[in-house]
Amino acid sequence: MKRAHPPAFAALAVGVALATQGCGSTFDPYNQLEGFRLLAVRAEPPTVAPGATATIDALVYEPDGPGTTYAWSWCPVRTGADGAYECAMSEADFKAELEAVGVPVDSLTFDLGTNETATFAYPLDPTILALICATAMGPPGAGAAGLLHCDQGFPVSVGLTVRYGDKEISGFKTLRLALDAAAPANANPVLTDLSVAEAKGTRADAAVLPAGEPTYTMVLGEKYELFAEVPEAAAETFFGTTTTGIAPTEQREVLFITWFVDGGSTAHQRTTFFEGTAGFDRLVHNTWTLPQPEELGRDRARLVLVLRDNRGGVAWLRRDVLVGRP
Amino acid sequence: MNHSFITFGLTAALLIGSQARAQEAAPTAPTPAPAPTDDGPAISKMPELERFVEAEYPARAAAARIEAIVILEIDINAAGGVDAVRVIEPAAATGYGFDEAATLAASKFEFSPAEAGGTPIPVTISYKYGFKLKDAPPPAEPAPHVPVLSFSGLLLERGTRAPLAGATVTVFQGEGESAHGLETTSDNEGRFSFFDLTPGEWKVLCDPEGYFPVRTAETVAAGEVVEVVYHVEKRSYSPFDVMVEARRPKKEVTRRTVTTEEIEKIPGTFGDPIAVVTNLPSVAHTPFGSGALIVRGSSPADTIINVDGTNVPYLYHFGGIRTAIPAGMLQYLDFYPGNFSPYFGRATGGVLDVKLKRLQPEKANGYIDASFLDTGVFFSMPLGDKAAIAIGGRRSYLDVLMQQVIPKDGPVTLTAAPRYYDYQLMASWRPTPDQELSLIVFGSDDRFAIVFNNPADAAGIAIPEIKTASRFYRGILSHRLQLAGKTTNELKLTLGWDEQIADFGPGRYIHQDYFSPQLRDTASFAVADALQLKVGLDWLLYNATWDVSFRRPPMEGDSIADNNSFDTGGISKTKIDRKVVSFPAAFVEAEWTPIPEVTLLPGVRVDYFDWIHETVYDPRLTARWRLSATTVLKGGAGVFHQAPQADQVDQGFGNPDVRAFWAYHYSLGAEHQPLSFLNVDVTAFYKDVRDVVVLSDALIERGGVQVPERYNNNGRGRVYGMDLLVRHEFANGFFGWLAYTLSRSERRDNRSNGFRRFDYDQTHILTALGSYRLPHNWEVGGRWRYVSGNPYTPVVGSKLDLDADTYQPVTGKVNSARLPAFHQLDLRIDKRFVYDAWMLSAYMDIQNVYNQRHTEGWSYNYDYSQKSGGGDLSFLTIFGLRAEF
Repeated sequence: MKRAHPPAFAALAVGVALATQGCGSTFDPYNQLEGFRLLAVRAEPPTVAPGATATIDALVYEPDGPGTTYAWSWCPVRTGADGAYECAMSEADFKAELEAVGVPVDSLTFDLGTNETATFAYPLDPTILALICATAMGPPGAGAAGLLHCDQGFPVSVGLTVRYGDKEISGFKTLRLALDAAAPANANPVLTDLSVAEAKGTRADAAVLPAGEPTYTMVLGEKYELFAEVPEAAAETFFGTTTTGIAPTEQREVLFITWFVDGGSTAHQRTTFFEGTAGFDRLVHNTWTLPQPEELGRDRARLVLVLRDNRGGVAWLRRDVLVGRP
Repeated sequence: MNHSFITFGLTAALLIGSQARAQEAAPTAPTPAPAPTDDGPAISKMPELERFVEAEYPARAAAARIEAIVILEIDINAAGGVDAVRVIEPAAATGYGFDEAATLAASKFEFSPAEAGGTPIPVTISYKYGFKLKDAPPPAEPAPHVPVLSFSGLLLERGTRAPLAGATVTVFQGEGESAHGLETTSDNEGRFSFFDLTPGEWKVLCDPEGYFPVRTAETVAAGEVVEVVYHVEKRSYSPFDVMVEARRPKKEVTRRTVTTEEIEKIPGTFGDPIAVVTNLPSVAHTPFGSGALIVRGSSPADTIINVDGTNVPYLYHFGGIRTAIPAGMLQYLDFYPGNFSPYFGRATGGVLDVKLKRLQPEKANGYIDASFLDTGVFFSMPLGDKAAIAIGGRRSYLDVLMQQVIPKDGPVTLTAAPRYYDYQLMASWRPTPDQELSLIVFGSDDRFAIVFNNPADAAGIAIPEIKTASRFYRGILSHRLQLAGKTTNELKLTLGWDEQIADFGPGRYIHQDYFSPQLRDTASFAVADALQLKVGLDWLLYNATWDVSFRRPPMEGDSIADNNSFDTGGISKTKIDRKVVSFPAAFVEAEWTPIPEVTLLPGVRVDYFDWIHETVYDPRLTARWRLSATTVLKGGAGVFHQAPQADQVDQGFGNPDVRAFWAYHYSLGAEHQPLSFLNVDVTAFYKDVRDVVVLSDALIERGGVQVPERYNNNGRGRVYGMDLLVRHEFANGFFGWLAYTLSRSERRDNRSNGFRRFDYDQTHILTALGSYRLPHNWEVGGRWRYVSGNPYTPVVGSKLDLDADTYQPVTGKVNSARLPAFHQLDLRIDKRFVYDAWMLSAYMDIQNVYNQRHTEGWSYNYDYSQKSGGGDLSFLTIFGLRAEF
C-alpha cells in the first residue's frame, strides 16, 4: 500500500550550525608594554653559596622616565593566594624559632633595603638549612607536595615592591641557597644580542641592533624577523629534580624568552627551548609586526627580551629602534 | 480465524458456497423450433440429432467447480447440417467460455433434416447445452464443505514492520443495500485470510485504532489466491504513546524515573540520556560539557553511577560531550537524590542507576543515528523463541571537524584530535519462563593529544604536549530467577577494566588502570503476607596499578589560584603495582506493610573499605503513607558512608590515616495526583555531612619525620532545602514537567572559619520543559532554565611570580562572591518520515535560542586587573538524523 510522502529531506544530512558570540573580551597580551611594569628580577649569582652574597636587581619599564622606588625583602616561606603571598611568618617569629634551637640570629633581617639593587647575604649556617630540608622532605619516595624542594639548594623568597606614581607592583622570586659550597651552582643564562631582518628574512640577512641610541629604522605597519643571540651553553646540564620530574636525573635547563614590545604585536609572547621538543631555533626566533602609523605617535619603539632558565637564572636585553612612516 | 456475516446497514446477503457434483456434459433434447412462418409449409418431421459433439469443458470453470447452461439457436439446413449457431441465453457464470464452447460444439452437430410433407426443409431450433461436472457426487450425499482460500494478507505497521495483531479486515462487494461482505481479525503475526470469495473485485477496508485506514480493492479470481502485504501507517509515532512497562510502585522517598522515550525528545540534551537528569529537581546546573552531577550540594564524586547495578567509572565521553551508552540500549533511568535503598552504597550524595533494555525483540530491528558529533548503530534480533542478541557502537568525528578548524600555523597541533567510540553487545536467553540469563558487554575509549607548537607561549611554562586517554569496559553476566510468589534471585558477575592516562609533559603524568570485578547477588522473598525481605551481597574488587606524578587533584573550594594543572610546584609522585583492594558489602531491607496504607522500608548496609581498613554500618528507613487514592506522605532518614578517594589515602599524595566520611539524610514530602496525567511531588530535605575529607596545610609527624598532612577529616557540610516536581504525563499530545529546587549548601573546612557556600550552592534551580505532538509526525519541544549563579572566590589583587614570569592572583574569602544567574531557552523540532519498512527521523536541537550570554566563570587579563565572563556556549544548533528499521 502506498501513501503520498511529504517532500524528502534531500539536502538534510548530518551537519552543524555553530555560531558563538565571541569568547569574551580580548585583553592586552602580557608582553604588550602599555605602562609602568616590573619585568624581571635577577640575582647574581642565582644560587648563593654558603657565606657568600648575591646582588639582586630589577628590570622595570618606565615609559615616562625614571622615577621608580624599590622596597626589597626576603622571606623563608610564603603563603598562598588566600594569604596574598605574604611571608608565612614574621621576622620576630622566625628569629624566635631559631633562637629556640640555639641558632644565633643577631644579624638576621628580612629587610633588604630600598635601593635599585639589593644585596642578599647567606643568612644561616648551611648545616641548619640541610637539617630543615631533611626533616621537611619526608621519607624517600613519599613525595613532598607543599614542602621544601632542596636538591637545587634551600629555597627562600625575595620580595620586591616597586612604585611609580600611584602605581604599585609586587613580585617575588625564589633564591636558592647552596647547601654545599663545592656543589655545581647555576649560572645566569646569556643573552648577547638581538638582530633584525625584514619579513621572511633569515639570520644571515639580519642586522644587529646596537645597545644605546638606535640606528636601525623600521617601517610602521611592517613585519620583521627577530633573532636573539643565545649561546647553546646557556642551557646548562645539571643533575637534580626540577618541576619537570621528581626523580633526580641529568637534564638540560629549559629556557624561555619573553619578548616585550611597546607597540605592535609579536607572533609569540614567549619562545622556548625544551630539549627534545623545542629546539634553540624556536627559542631565539620571533616575528614583530609594528603598529600602524596612526597607532604610534613616537619616533622610536622598544624591545625588551627577558631570558629565564628553570632554575632561577635570568638575563635581559633592551633595544630601541627608530620607526619610519611608510 | 473469525468469520462472520456483516451488513452495511442493509440486508445481509448470504453467500452459499459452491457444492461439487459429478460432472456430466450432455446435450439436452432439442426444443421445438418456432413454427414456420405462415407462408411456409407445415413441418411433418422434426430434425433429430444424429451426431452429438461434446463441448470442451472450460478449464477454469472446471477447476472452480462451476457448471452452466447455455441456450443456443441453431440453423439446420435441408441436408441436416448446421449452418449457424447463436447464443440466445448465455451461461450464468460469465467469463469462463461456456458460451463459446457450446457454440463451437453445436456447430459440428449433424441432424436428420426436418421434413414438410416428406420433403426435407431447413429449420431453426433452440438448443439447451448443459455443462455438468462428470465427477460431481450425487446431490443426495453432499461432501463436507472444505473452504477454499481466496484472499490472504499480512498487516505490518508501516516503518517498523511490527505485526498488527487483532486488527479487523473487511471485504465487501456492492453498494448500498446490495452491499455484502465478510470480516476477519488478524492473528498475532498480523495475518488474515478469507475463503470462498466469489470471483470478482472485492473492496478491502482495514481501520485499526490509532492507525490511518487502509482502503483498497483486490480482484479475486476463481482458482487463484490473492496474497497481499499491507503497511499500515500509525497516526503518530510519538514515543510518548507507548508505555514500555507498567509503572513500578514507588518505595523510596524520592525516585525520579525517566524512560528512554522521554529522554530522546527533551530539548537541549541532544537525546543524551544522562543530560536529562540535570533537568530534574535536586540537580545543580553545570557548564556545558562538564559532565559533573551535582546532587543536593554534594561533590560529583559523591554520586555514584551504576549500569544495571554495576559500578562504572564514568558515563560521558570526555567528561560530558556524549554518554558512552547509547539511548538504544537504555530502558529507563532511576535517579535517587537521597535516602536511597541499602541496595546502593559507597555514596553520600545520590545514585543514578541506568537500566538497560531487556532484550525481547519480535523481529530484527535497529537504527543508525548520525549527528554532527558522531554516528551510532544499534541492531537487535531474536534468536528463536527464547533468546535474543543485540550489538551497537558509535564513533565520533570531532577529530575530523577540529582538524579542519584549527589553522595549520596555529599555536597547537592535534596529533590525536579528540575522538571517542563505544561498543555494546547484549544477549539474553530465557530457557524457562521463570529464569533469564543475560550477558552485557559495553566499553568506551576516548583519546586526545595536542602538541603546543610553542610550549611557553601556550601554557606559560614549558608543557610541550598533552595526551589523555580514558578507556573502560564492563562485561556483566546475570541470572534472574523468578520463583513462585514473590521470590526472586538475581546474580550478577561483572568483569571490568578501567584505564586512564594523562600526560602533561615530562614529570606530569597519570597512568592508572584497574581490573575491577564485582559480584552482586540479591534475593527477595516474602516472609509473610505483609513482609517482604530483600538481602544482598555487593562485593567490589580493584586490582590497581597507579603511576602518578602530578599535583593534587582539584578540591571543592579551590580558587582560580589552586586549579592550574600547569603549576610549577606541588608535584607529588606515587607508584603502586597491582594492588588489590576489596570493598565487600552486605545489606538487608524489609518491606513491611502493617496496614494497607502504610509501607515501611527499614534496612541496613554494612560496608568494609579495604584501603582504610574500616567497617561502616548504614541503617536506613523510608516510609510511605497513602492518605487517599491520590495522595501519599513520605519520609526517610538514614546514614550513608563513603570511602575517601584513592589519592587522598595514598602515602605519596595524601594521608593514609584519612577515614571514611558520612552523611545523615533526612527527607519529608508528599505526592499528589490531582488529575490522571498530573503528578505533584514535593520534598523537603536536610543533609548533614560529617568527617568530610578536606585539605590541610599542617605538618604532622609520621615515622619520626615531619610530613605534610595534606588531608584530614575536619570538614563538615550541610545542605537543606526543598524540591518540587510537577509532571504532566503524556496526555492530549503533551508531555512535560516543571522542576524547582530551593536549597542552601554549605561547607566548613580548614581554610574557612565557620560554614561557607559550597561550590555549587545554587539557591534557585528552575526547569520547565515540554514536548507537544503535532499531526503528521511532527513534534516540538522547549526547555527553559533559570539557575542562581555559582559561588566563586573573588580575585582581589595579584602578585608577580618572577620565576614563572606570570602574575598570581590574590584571592578573597572562599566562595564569597556569586556569578550572574543562568537562564536559557532551548527548542527542539522532530519530524518522522515513515516508509514501508523503515523510518527516518530528523531533529533540530537549538540551544540558547535567545543567545543569552552566560558566565560560568571569569577570565582575567595577565595581572588580574580586568575580568570578563564566559565559559558556556552562546548558541548552538544541532541537526541529527536517525534511520530505524
